[in-house]
Amino acid sequence: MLKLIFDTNALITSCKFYVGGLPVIKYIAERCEIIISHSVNEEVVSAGGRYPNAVVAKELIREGKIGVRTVSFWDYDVLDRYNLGKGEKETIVLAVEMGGEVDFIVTDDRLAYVVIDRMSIKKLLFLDLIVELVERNLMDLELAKSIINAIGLRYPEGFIYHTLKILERGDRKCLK
Amino acid sequence: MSEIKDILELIREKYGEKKVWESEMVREFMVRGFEQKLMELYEDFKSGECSLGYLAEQLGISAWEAYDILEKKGLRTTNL
Repeated sequence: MLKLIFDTNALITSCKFYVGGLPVIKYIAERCEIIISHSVNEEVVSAGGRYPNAVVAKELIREGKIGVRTVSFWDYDVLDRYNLGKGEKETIVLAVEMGGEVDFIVTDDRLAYVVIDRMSIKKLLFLDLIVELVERNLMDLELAKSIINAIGLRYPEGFIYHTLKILERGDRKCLK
Repeated sequence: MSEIKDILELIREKYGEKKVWESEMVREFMVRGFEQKLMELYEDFKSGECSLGYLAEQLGISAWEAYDILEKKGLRTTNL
């Protein structure tokens, strides 16, 4: 089972979009171990009353399907120099602290992605998580395509087209 | 910051401490100020200079609220 740390934006996206009457996060939670930082959890709790999508995450946390971890290192001067939010910073710190115990950070934020890359931490865009699940035979192709189409509006067209091509051809480097 | 202080002083002089929050005009100023700050931060977000979480924090709202506001304005919620 893949062990993933979800950033706030990836968590919101996966709670917000539905496939077959279920929020996308539920399909992910069935196949992966999802962890979020304490700060990301606080966001979920504080937004819980106002947004039905946040309630989805809140329920999964209560059911133990999303784990919440507190970071022990707070003096992250390097991360403070970037214009990242507390949730993103704690997500990165958590990945550093968990080391090889975690497979990927899932984020759709460009700045967070670049910083994570500079720290040589394994990361995935949410779209690439779906590709990864198909490649590892953890998700069937049709469900993967349905998820990509459901969340499609959120991304620039090229990201969706490329993802669908990768899924069809099984080749990430496909050019056509 | 001193400019903001001056403006607040001006508003206080005009409306008095108690009436400031009842003033339609002040409310409009606040909404416009928020909108302007949102759009400035959104430009930084779009260009990858700040994250969604940072944008939300600077506006004093949660990331879920920021996501919701951007979506309602028809703006992209990702900066990929």
